[in-house]
Amino acid sequence: MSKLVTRLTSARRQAKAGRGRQAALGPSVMWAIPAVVIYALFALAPILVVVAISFTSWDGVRPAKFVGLENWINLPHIAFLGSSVKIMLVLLVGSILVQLPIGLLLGVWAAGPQRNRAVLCTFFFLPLVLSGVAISIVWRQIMDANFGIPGQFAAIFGGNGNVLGSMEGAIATLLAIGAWGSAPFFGLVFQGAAKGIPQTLYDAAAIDGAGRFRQFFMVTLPQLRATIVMALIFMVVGGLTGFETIMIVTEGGPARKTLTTPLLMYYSAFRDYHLGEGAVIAVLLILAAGGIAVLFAKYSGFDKMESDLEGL
Amino acid sequence: MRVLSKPYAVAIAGIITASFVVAGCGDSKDEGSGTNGDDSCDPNTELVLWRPGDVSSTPLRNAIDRFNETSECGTVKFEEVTDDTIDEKLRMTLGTDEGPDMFVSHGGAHLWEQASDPETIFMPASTEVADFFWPWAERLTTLNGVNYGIPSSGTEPVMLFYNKTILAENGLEVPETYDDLLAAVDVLAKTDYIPIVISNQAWALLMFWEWLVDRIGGEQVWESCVQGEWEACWNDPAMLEATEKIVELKEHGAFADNWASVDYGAGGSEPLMTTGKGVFYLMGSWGYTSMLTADPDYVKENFGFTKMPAVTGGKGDPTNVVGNPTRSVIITNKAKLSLAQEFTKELTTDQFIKDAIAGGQVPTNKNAADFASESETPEFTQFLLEMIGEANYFTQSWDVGVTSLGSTVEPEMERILLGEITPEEFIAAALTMDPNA
Repeated sequence: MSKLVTRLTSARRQAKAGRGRQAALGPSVMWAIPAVVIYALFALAPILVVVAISFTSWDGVRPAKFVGLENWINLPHIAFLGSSVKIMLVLLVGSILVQLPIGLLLGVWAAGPQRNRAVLCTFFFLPLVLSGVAISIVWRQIMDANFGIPGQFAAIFGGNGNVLGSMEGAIATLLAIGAWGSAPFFGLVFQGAAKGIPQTLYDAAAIDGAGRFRQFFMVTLPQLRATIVMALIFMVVGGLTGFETIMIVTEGGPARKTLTTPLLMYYSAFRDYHLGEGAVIAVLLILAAGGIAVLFAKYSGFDKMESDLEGL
Repeated sequence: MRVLSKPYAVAIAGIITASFVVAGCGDSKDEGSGTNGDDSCDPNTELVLWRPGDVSSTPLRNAIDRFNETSECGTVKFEEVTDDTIDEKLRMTLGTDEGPDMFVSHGGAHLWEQASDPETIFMPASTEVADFFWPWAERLTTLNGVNYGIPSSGTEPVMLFYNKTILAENGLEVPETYDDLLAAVDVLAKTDYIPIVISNQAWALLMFWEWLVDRIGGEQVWESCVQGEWEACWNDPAMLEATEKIVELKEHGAFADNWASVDYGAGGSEPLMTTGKGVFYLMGSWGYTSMLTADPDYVKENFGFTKMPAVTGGKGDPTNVVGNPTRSVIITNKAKLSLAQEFTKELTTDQFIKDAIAGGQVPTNKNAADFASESETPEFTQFLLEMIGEANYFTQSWDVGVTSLGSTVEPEMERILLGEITPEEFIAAALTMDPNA
């Protein structure tokens, strides 16, 4: 066995040497240049600039002053950073718990053959085509204590409609808006993946006596594993960077109770013009989002490029 | 600033410079085009003026049109820059070739923070022109004894609106003092009405402090905050007393218990007033205009307005007002100064005042009262003109004076009203949030 491997490897090496460098492994690296340049210019360069700014004291007007590690040393003293991380994690875990099941069920259901599903899906997926900012402004109106939905409910069932005014209410509202706006996106992703599951697997399961629920758990879910991991990465990274809904609907309120780290970064950099401090928070977020995405991919086997259809 | 190894510093500097190049704003620090003090006459000179283009810009635009028709030595061009972006744009371009010749500013600390070197970049306003306006307007655009601004839009002081029908129904008078207001709250709290309408917008809650601190301690309390004496300012007994009075109002049932879910404005707080659910509303004068738009008949028939009530025994001058004094035209060193100053004369004309009043504004020109009858709401305009005319001091809204107030002290104000902290804890929290530290 080991001999065979050695022989194969050396054969590959010979082939490489024989055909010359540029022809070795698929197309030339040159083809990647446009993408690399765009990525470097619009993703890497801004990140590097943010890292650089994190070593300065800058108000956006006067020349930035280099202060070394001062902002980083001051990190534990950034007001409300700790609480903002907690709130962000609560929203993150909450939105995964809400969005993943909804997206999964919606996607699997929509992958079915019946024609009425196509029509209904159009309605479910409608939030995807709406502008997030515009919709947030509308939600803010909808949640008004007197003239919005909570006000109407209060008129019927009692209470005072004070939904956005409490921490629990504000977080529940943000989770609901997130689910309404994002779950259809994951539904769409799961729909595509579910349609790719071969019918033979279900037929085989049916012959083995598996009912609908068992088929879902034993066939559909395992087949969607890679897609679920991808959706989770999207949700985590989105949770660590998204802020426009919070900024518009609750503005971090009531009294900072929904002040998440991205919002804190925005306020620090662009409302108080402490760009050095804002940059430190931004770098932390980049590291956290990048790190979590890598860990997820590594430990879920997402990076192994193995197909779940192996053997079919 | 630390000493560091040269290659490291060069690398950082390189990246920062690269960021500006990427962002498309060369930091050339050009000292204008050198036209200042040049009295020559070139009809092709064009001065660019930046301002948000909302309806309140109409009198200024008309003034520009009139000026351009008659001017022989150049024209002014109005360039609309939205409210959301004007601060950023000015911060990036003032002092460079991309900057405007003139722009419109709220003045105060905010203005001085916008330019790296205000005393070189801003050009003095004509004192002759500035004399046409109330003296408090000039204070906000004066740095080290030099005035840089000419008022160009209406004043927006904070005032107390009330529903006179509901007051009469409950046998109540218009409150002149804090105690009167508290007594009225006690009566109204027993009814289904909301005694004082508030919203979850911190800047709107801030008005309660702006009002009470001024009436209790006088204008110098907050001015010491603006001038960087943060500790002296928050340690002033007036700050604590004002906070206690706000808690007192809350404890007497002045505010609806769902206020934290009420948004400011046309979707939240104002309909409570215009549908006759709320009785008092502490708000800037613009609140009247927007409520009038929502329900003109109801507002005209039922609404009254008065000054912020006095506090018995308080040190503050009850004629003082707080709010947004005005927005002034600032000339930059890029402009041809003689032409720009000539243009500002247009803001003193009768036609400018008439245009402003017709648009629902209250200009800060000293002679504006002569035209009050031309307003669509003459009674309101007349009241405002009298109020600002007799004002000895006009405190600028706190959040315009200190830009970081919004993310530091304001949420603590919400916590006070949510009953999470005591007035003493509020002061202690504010003391830790010195924006100058």
